[in-house]
Amino acid sequence: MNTERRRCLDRAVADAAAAFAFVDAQPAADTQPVDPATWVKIAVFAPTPGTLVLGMSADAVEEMTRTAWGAFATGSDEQRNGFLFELMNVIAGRFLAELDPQASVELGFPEVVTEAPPLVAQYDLEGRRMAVGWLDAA
Amino acid sequence: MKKVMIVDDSPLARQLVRAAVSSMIGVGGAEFLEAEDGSVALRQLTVKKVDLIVCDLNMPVLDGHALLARVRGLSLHKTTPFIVLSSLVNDAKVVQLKAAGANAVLKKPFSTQQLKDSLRAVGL
Repeated sequence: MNTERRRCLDRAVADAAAAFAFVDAQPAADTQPVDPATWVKIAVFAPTPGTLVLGMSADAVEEMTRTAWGAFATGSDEQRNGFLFELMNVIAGRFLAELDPQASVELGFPEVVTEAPPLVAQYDLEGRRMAVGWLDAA
Repeated sequence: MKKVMIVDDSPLARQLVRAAVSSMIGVGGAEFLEAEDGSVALRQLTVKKVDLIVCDLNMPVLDGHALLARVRGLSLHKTTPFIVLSSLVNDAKVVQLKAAGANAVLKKPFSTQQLKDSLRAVGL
């Protein structure tokens, strides 16, 4: 991931994490291992075709989902996946708007994936881990 | 009691809107109707008058922009306040949505205060 994309991604992740779960997301060393329990992805059709992927450790998903849902949190898989989908959607929108504020953005819909992507940027969520990656369209 | 239609494929986003609206007009002061995409919302809006529509943009089946156009074609909802929420809007998209009849366009993630300001602006 080039420097400009990484800068835009950092800002999008920080905005989304703060808004949904009041968590400070800081870029972490990419060499540290991450073992997310769940990966989700979203297809980007425009302005730059590719796929954005997001992974979070189980404890990070659990805590952020509970914070986001507040008094209505049930701890269900449906809420956890729904939280990840909405987070993915917002990060994708913000990331692409940062890259080119004037470009029209066209996204697919978030979905769960089973395999971790090869290249990811990592973030520290006040002690928990999140990873986000951009894959150019083949 | 105000009737509020929330249209979003994300249950979390619908909950955040419910909470923001309730905090402004009081719990019990609003009746919420919900739909996970534009087509489900349109079926309800064709026969039911509401006081406010809060709608996501990127949804399956019928997206927010298409729903807005269809809703403005219904005699029941020619002037119903319609607020669009999306992470995908840029200045050009805001102009398009307002030209199509949106009263306000908010970028996700939105703050409760931003939504409250929009609700006040549309007279709720």
